[in-house]
Amino acid sequence: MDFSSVERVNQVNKNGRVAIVYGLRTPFVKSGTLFRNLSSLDLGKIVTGELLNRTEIDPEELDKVIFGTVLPSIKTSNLAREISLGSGVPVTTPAFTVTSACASATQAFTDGVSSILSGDSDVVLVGGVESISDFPVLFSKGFRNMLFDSSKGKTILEKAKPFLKMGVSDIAPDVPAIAERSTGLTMGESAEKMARQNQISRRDQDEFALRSHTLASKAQKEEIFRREMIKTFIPPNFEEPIFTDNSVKSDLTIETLTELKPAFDKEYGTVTSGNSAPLSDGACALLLMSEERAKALGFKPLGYVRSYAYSALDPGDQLLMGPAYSTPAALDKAGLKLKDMDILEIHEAFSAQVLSNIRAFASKKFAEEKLSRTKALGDIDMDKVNVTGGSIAIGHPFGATGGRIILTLLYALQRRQANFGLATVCAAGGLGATVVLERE
Amino acid sequence: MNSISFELNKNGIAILSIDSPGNPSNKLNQVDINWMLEFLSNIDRQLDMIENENEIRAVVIYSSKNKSFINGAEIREYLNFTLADEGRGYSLRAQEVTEKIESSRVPFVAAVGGSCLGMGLELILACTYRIASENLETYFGMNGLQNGLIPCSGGTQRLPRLIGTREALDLILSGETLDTNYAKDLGLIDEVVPNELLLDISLERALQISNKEFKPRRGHFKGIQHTIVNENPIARKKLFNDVRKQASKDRRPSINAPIMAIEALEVGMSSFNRGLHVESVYFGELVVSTATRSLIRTQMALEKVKDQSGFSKTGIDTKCDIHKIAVVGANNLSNEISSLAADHGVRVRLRGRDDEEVGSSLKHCYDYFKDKYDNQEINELDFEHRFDLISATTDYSGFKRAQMIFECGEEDLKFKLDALKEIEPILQMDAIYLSSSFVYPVAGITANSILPGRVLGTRMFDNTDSSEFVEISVTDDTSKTALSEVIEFLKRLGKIVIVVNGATGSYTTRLQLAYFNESLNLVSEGVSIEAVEDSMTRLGFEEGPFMTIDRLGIDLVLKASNLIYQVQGDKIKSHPSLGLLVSNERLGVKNGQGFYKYHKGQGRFDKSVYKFFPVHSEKSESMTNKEIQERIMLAIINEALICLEEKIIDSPQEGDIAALLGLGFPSVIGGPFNYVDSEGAGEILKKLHNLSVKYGTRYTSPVLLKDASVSGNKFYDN
Repeated sequence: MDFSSVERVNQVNKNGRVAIVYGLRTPFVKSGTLFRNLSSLDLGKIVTGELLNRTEIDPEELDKVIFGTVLPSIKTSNLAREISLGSGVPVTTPAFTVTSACASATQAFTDGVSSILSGDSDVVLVGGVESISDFPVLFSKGFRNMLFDSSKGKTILEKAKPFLKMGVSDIAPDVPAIAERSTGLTMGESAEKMARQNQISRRDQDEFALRSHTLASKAQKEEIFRREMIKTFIPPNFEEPIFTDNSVKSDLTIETLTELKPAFDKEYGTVTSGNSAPLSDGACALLLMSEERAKALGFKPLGYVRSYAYSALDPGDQLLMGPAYSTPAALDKAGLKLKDMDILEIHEAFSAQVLSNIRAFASKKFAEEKLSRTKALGDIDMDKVNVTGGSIAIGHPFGATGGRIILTLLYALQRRQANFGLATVCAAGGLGATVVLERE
Repeated sequence: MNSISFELNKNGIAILSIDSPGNPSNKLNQVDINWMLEFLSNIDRQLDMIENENEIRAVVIYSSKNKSFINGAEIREYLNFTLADEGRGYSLRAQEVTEKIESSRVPFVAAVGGSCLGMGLELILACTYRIASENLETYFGMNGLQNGLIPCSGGTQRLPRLIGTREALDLILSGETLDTNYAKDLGLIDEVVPNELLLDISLERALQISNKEFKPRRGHFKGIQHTIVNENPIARKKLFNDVRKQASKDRRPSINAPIMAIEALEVGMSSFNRGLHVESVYFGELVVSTATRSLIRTQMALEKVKDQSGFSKTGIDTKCDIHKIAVVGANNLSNEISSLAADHGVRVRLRGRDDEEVGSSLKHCYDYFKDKYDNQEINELDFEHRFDLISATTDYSGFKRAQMIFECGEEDLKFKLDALKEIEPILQMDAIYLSSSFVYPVAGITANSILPGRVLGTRMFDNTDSSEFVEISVTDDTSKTALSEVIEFLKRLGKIVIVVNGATGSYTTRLQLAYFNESLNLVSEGVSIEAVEDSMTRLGFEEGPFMTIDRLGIDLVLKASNLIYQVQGDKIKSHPSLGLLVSNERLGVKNGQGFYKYHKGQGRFDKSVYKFFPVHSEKSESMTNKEIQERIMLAIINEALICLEEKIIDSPQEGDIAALLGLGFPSVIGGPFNYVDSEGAGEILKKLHNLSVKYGTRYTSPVLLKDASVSGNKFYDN
């Protein structure tokens, strides 16, 4: 990749920039807990319906709806369309679903941005959703073959015949993979590999995890998340609405984290359940408009999109280094430097991954070898990073996180009266995505 | 006018198309019956009714209307009968039609698409073969009992023979309607077909039957065991005894139809013809009885009110394109309107004061749909889609796009005015605001509005029996467009709407207060509360007045009565006992004690309530039920007459329907105006005069009644 040739591309069209008018999310809750009875579709409908109500936008204004999600739902293959139909988006508004691992919501977001920049749309509702409580359990390949053969049979006997060959292993369900298809490594194993290769110590990882919880817990106490969060009532009893991310631990100590056993490499490993993001359920939605349309409709946007960039690397290399590639690209497009950023939201899949990326930002060697740049991107002021904690504490519904960090970033910029910020995620497959935002 | 037209196709199948002119549903009148008789005689004499020489080989009975096959007889005509013999003669002619169909030389095929009720059902029972379309609008029922009548064209005889004695009794006594599939299961219908194919298949079957290619099986054989167990003399005797006992539990002396229907069926078990005879005799007796005449008039008034559109009320034709409403409050009313609106595809934004209210409202709405789902009225997807339409909040977010606001918050003027003040500025200019109240006249609310023309008052009723009824209060400022939209929207939700002038409070509230006030007065005079309650339930009220006061809340009744009597000057004052009860924390159901003590939703009369009544022993006299009933009824009737004179209501029909549906007025009495008609205006005037001499100005009758007694004019044409 040759970034030196990237000129400053103002991501602006004749209607001006793309404005983020409003955003909302559900609380992020640990999978299998409070949202156990809600599907991805349910969560998506809650967040979309509430966004329409709170913005008071005429739903007829919507030109498009895009949602990102990771685990497929068997009953709703185009989840975004079902969310639209169930939450008051006009039936005449097209909707589609995107998937790009943990960057799914980011992908939905930038698809919305580019649709507006191209002049194709004026108003796009984007979001992301994941219910890991509701993940699809598949029959084994062997069993599926039997079902298929059986369905071709005409008599009961013919229908029964394929099952006579059934073995014990055929009954065991197939669980959706969290391992890389290309390398066979799970996420956790990839994080272990990064920790080893970049020499990120267990202590550093645990301290970073503790930081995430401490900041998130402080933000909860200051009721900072309430602006972006929907108080969620759960059927069938609708009692005690949920209004907090329940994986944040206010009483976590470094000792507790230190005592945890490694989760992936039991013998030499450093990655634990404490310094990785938990599996969560949640949804997030953002309303995008061309600057001109936002103005015409009287909205006061939370911020504007300055630039965005994606990257992809060899999954056999350090899998979760995406941000180290996409961030310089996005900043170049924005015509800004890392030091111009007032706040950075970096998705925390693992402490090891965040710390590896931050080191790469500062590394001249990384810049020269991997990015063909003469200078490192720069050192990061940690006071600007994940100022209200990150995915390790708040939780990580795969398909929703990319949207959540943009939303959290916008509110953080507002609180600090700051202008520039970036949000970046790493994703399975060696993908990286960075979005640069400005408030003015 | 004749509703039936006739056409012969090339195969010799006659199609009788029924289409009552100018009517949304088909009803058979006497002209139709005579036409049928002539038609049937002609077939039997093998005479052709059309010019070419083709012979009629089969007949298909069909409706040209989509939603109505035959909705029974034109009961309006029944009011012309004055003698039981006239009614009997009518029944004999109707019986002759069905007998002739049954014994005709050609097969008759009924092609039923749309509602098939009463005489319509009796007609198809006589047919050779019955086909129905499988749409939702096709249903079957023997609904005569709702008008105090029994079947009159052989229904009491053919129905048990076709579907079984118990099933026939059920259908006749309950008045329930059956959908197509259930009717097929019962054996009432032989074949169910898609709507679009109804006529084609009916013609085909008619041809096949006449060609002897197809032989219909009569009835639906339920198995030899069923027949032996149920259709034997001992089982039938027990069945008849059981239903007779059940029917005689109705304490209203005027209701004879159930017993007579049972009798006609029982006699018919041994002889079809004797059964027919009993049927026609009883029909004749019933059709001229006061109760039946009241029920028929009420039914007609109800139809008139139901047909009333926003256009007919305001002269303004609006499209009802309401797709989002907002509802304030978390109580039975707000939950009911929210669920109902969502059930009709309308998006709802509900506002509760806090999380607890929001949660409980959501749960109520969820349970509304869950019940429907559990009862298999809707499938899982409908459940999800309809509940998806409801969202709730503790602020006013989502109100801006609402086209209609239902403020059903607490009965407190400050709350109502604050809500209006907070919500009105958010709304679009063309939104309509409905303020729901039992207590407060709408005029007091609109006075504080930015757009008084678009603020209307409403009184909705949360007791399930009358929840189909809504009273809308308007002022001189009310926009006609807004009113028209409200009427159309509520009609879409299946509500029956009455519009009243809301200057002095709702019409039903005024009637209710007169009712309560007189009941309280009687107790002050020494009549026991139990006696009043008993008298009124015997008359046909669902519950006694004191139980109703408890349900509404004694404090609210007091508030309402203070407000209204303040407007009306010193003609009447709020009954002092109400104030005493309220100051002693006896508020009714809401705090567990009023006239009754409540435990787990059950009320038990509480004698200690008498200490709030200053009873003078010299006045303490026992009154008969009839005297109590008359005192109370006359008080209500007088208030209704005053409301008509003050133009609070537009018509006596609306006044009667509001009393019936809103106040639970007994339908055999048929509303205050029908009561005056039945008794005669002169008689009522005399009685009111006597009462006013004895009890004062509250019984002073309006000029309107004096005029009516002089002119002899009635409130109803018939």
